[in-house]
Amino acid sequence: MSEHTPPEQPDNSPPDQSATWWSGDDGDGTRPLDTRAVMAQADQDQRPGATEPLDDETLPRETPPAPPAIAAAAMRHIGQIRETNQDSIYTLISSIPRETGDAILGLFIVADGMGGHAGGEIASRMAVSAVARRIIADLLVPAIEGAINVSLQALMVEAVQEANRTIWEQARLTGSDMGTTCTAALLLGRSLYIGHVGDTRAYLIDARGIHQLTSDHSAVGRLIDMGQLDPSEARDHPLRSQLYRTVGQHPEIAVDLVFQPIGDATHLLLASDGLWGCVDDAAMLRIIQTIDSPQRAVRALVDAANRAGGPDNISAVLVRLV
Amino acid sequence: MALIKKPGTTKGIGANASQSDAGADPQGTAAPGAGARIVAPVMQPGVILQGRYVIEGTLGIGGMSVVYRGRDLRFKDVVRPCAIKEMYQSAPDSNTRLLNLKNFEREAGLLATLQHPAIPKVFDFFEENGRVYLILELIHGKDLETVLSEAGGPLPEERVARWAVQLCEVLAYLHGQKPEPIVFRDMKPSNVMITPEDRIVLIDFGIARSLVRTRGTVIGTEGYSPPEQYKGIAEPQSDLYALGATLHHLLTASDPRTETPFTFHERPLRQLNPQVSPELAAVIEKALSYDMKTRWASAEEMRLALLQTPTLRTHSGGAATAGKVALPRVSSAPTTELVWRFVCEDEVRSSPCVSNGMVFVGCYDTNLYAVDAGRGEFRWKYATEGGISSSPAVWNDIVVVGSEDGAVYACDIRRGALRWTFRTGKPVRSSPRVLDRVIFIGSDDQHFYAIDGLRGAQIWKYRTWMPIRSSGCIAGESVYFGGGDGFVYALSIKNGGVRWKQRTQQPVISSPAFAENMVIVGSMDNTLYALDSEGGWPVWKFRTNHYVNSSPYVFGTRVFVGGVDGNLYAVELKNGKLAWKYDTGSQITSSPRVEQGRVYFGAADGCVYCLDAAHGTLIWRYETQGPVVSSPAISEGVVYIGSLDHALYALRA
Repeated sequence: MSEHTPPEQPDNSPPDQSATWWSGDDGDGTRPLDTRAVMAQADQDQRPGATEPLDDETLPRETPPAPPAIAAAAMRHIGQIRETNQDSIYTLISSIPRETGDAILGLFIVADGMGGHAGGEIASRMAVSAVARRIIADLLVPAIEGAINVSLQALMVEAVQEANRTIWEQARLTGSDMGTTCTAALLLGRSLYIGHVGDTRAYLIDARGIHQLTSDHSAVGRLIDMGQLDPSEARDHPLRSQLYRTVGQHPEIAVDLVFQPIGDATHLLLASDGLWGCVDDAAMLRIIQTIDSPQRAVRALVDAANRAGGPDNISAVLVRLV
Repeated sequence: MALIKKPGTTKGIGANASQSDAGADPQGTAAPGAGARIVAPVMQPGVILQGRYVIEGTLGIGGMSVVYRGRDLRFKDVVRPCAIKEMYQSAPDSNTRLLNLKNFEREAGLLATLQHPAIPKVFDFFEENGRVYLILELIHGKDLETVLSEAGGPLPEERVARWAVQLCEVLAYLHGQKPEPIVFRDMKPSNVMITPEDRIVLIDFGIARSLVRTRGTVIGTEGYSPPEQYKGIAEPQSDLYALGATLHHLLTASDPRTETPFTFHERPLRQLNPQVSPELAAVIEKALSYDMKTRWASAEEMRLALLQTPTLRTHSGGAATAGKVALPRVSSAPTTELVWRFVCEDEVRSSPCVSNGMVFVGCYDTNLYAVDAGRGEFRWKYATEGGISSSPAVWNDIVVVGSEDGAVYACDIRRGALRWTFRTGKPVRSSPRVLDRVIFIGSDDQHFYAIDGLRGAQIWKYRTWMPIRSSGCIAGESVYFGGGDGFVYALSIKNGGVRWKQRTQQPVISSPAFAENMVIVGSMDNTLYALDSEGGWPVWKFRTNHYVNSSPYVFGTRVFVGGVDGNLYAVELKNGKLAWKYDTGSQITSSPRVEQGRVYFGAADGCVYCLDAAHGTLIWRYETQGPVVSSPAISEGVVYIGSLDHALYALRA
């Protein structure tokens, strides 16, 4: 049903079976349409306004699909080795009023900073605040007023680019080499818009498994994509964390954008490499699928990374979508 | 793999520590990919080392060394400047520290054995206060990264080609060392100095090493380094790849450190900078082969190839006048074969519909025509009370069309006998869409209707505030269409309940297409929109220079749409980025169709166009006698389309 049906291709299904979706009959669909009643009603009903349904009895007002019972939990942990926590996270869940039914707006960001002299902490915090501020100003505020007219892909890309400029300028002023990854996921209605730079990953979890939505901006990640390195070799590659694209270390950056309807997905996970580098996809999936509460699941994910040595800061944002 | 395992995944630390940047612009070292780094303790000017070398200032700070400008005091009467490279340790673990020290000592030893005008001379090497120092020839000038950033764009081919030859010379020298070749391993703009005489000097031999055929651990610099260096392999050909990457950067000003690694073949030189000669581009692109074996066999071979490129050939030999010859523009495009032409009594604005061996089309002469698809022979016509600009649709054995007389007509496809009519209050210029037995159509009476296709009875109607000329697009449980009020509507097909509506700035005449959970539609606000089908929010927008009244057509990963600004656009479905455009020089309101990798559409200049869908190049153009606003239907290798010259055309696809 998702294909655009050109007019020259009439549907092949027999009309009397396929009529159920509009006639309001749940069963055999053979109940004939009372055309005269309809016409009479239509003739006499000249009120301007919205839709005039065929018959209040046979066509009950459509109940919109239930909004996702969305719940999110976020956690960042210093890990077992590092002396500072250079990760920053952000979550926001809002219901936005709409003339035609309210929608859910969620914003989830994980940034994994790098750079000496507290640079990593500063960069990741700046990234999170710049991205959140831009999206709140250009999307959430207009959304509350009922008019979203901004291009969401452009918004997500520009928000991360703005964070990049802010950090780059600050770094120039202070002579810092700081930078950060930034993976920002916007949930609007039933679609995800993800702006992404670096190797913090976004995953979507459904009944079939766990699916990585983003690609890591590391040469090692790229060599894996090209089939030149084995993912298992890459886990221990000394340059696994060497990124070719970061936020704040170049005046201009390209930002990856992922547009992904959530469909029947149950969870969204954002994970810094301190998590996904220690806990493999299967283990993360097991935790998410067996622990119902996002709060407890996210803690279990962080615990698992710490049990595996916790060599890096660990950050996770887990969003339950159903 | 014999790669060093470091505890954890410290972003960059350690890995970077093996890269040093003697004399380089410190900004260059802070490029993407550079990770955490501890700021080096810097010695103040005036400090004297070994009672002989005085610090005068700092030249650069690298991953594990600081380079100072200094002076050798032993020469009392003359000022003898030098570069003082101080190694410092930032790595936390002792293994890395030891490795770094070994690298530094190796660099000193290596430089001491080399003698080449493009390699700095080494004067001294010593330890003082627990730190290790290397005294080097001071190279005046700027490194290439600085030169490039000051230029603010690509550097001229001739200058780059001359540097390239010199770089090949010094690489040939290094690779020719006995008993083992020396691989530089870190060729990049910031490691190449340009002297005031425009001579090149390689700096930073921190990771260069004799080629001992065991796997090393050092990769050089991301973006420039070849793939094999990530597996710990570095051969002379690895330097040629990095040289190719450096030259690519200089000629395009596109920084490989910020691009996806190993994608040079996806970013051809001449696409980024068409002024580069094809010859030079070919030399560089060969050096950038992914596979070592398909690169130049040696630096010398590459040097000889460089000497054959136009700018160097002209200047050295003086014989050839390598003027750039532009390819002649194709002026007379090929046309196509006319299969048949069917003439009506007025303009054919309606778009044909092919079904059951017949072509159905509406005409401004008030008739709905049925024509034999093979021979163009008249079958039947049905006269309405007004002109027809709506495009017919076939469902089972009826053909449905709207008329300016305000009615929707359903005729038997065999003989044209009227089955039913459905009256709206104003002209119907929108075209019917059929799902199962329901017909969806808009009217100038501001309503969008769902009509029972068997009986012509209304199932529901939805009121907007302006005429509806856009036609519906059915996907899932929704029908999407645009309104003269500037809104794009998503209604439930069951009962016409509004799912969402999204405002554009101007009326929407274009009819939406659906793909990848997006509703794609043009607006008279000059923009092509991709709206989230779940909520109507713009996923992306694509701006043109005039109205977008043509209806988008999705094929593969692209959206094709015509613009009143004269362009046929191919836009990436994923992100709304332009793939290509083709300028017809006249308005396009016709909607494109893609078939077998070819895009077909009409334009106001009277032509029907056939373009290559991949590249937007013209395949053929067929001229009719009037503007073509009708949209093509393609069936069995024939393109059917109407023209304002009153005719319906069948053209060989």
